[in-house]
Amino acid sequence: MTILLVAFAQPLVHLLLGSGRFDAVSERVTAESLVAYLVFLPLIAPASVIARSVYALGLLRLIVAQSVLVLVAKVGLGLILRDSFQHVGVAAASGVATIIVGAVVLVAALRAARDLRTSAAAEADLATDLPPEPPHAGTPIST
Amino acid sequence: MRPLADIVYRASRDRRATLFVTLLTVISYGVTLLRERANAMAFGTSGDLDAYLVAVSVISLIAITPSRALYEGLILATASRGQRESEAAAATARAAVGVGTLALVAVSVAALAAAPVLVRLIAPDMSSSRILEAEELARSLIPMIIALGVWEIVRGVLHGYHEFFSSSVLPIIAPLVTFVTVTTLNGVLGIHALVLGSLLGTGLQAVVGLVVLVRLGIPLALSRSLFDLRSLRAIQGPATASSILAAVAMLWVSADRFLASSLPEGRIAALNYASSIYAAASVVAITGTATVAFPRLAQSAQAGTAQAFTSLLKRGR
Repeated sequence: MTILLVAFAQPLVHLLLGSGRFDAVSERVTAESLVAYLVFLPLIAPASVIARSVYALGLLRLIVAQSVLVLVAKVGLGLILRDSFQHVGVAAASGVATIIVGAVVLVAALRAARDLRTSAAAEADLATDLPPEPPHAGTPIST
Repeated sequence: MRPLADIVYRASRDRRATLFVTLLTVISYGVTLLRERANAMAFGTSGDLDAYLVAVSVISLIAITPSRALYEGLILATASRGQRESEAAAATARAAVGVGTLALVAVSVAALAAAPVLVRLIAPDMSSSRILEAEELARSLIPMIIALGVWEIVRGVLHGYHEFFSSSVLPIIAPLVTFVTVTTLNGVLGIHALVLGSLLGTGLQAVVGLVVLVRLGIPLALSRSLFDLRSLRAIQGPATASSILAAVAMLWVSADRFLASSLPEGRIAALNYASSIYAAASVVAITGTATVAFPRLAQSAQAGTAQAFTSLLKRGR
């Protein structure tokens, strides 16, 4: 899908927006920006799943830290890339920042998942150490 | 109904609902692209559109940040079962709308002073004439703060009431009204046609949302109980985290405008068009995968099965 969209970015922009005051220069600049957004799409999709995994683990602080970090990274990278690559650099900064922070968050999520197993294992060990529960009142005792 | 059959029935119903909501979201993005086409035709990649986009970022930031702070808590407080609980949920929803609207009016008054400062912060390198234009447009857009904020509150209540159809259909109203207004009035009003369209669109969306709430059994007639602060005590949620996340989401868009403000005129508009097309493409590519993955990730996290969770995250199965 990404390859198709990147290959046909210019005709797509022309088809969707090309009329009236949207001239050839507008079309070229918009298509270049679109390509810069799109090339990172195959890596942004897994980054989104990683972000969802943090929600699934209920790690609120990590969710907030992740979103602030990705914004700061985007602005920082944008400032670096803007001078050399103009609008293309600005658009690319979003993708690069999302992927870098996504990788960092993946490590944090996997570490949190390991803690999940440790606590689950500890609970299981505790359960085996405890004496068996007495039968509840009214439960027939099998003989 | 047998337990297993019940589970299968509920799973397929949830899948159908997810598909339906995703389809409506895709339609909503389609209508947004229609609005972008009208803007492209009328304004191209002009400095006027750059100024408008900076102004609208300021207004969205002011409106969404405080109102989304209520969102999570509102869902929890209004998601109820049983007659007694639903009366309490309706009272909470009613107070959230009443008190929220009053708060948004106060925020709007404060925005008269804050908006010009924020315009200069978001687009520091834009030419001084464009900054003045953006400040004027931001002042004209101030009523949108109330409309956007009320809509966020309505959305929280709709999700609490499991009204996913309404919450997915209503966001189509604003871009549709803007499309019609810009198409018909841009020759007469210029960039102010876009301002008018945005005001009418978001206003109508909020009003229709309130009508839906009334139809759900939440009375919104003007009386003292509409501003009952005690009913808001039920709203407990991660308000600070929610508002930080909302602010970051708004600043994410503003960051492009901040960075592009030093580039030649029209680049802010070009990045905005590209980002709208990209958003439509990514909603198809990403939302489906992430929507399917999330329940499975949540299930394995809740069950404490790290192996399954890690495998899902690494290999997708």
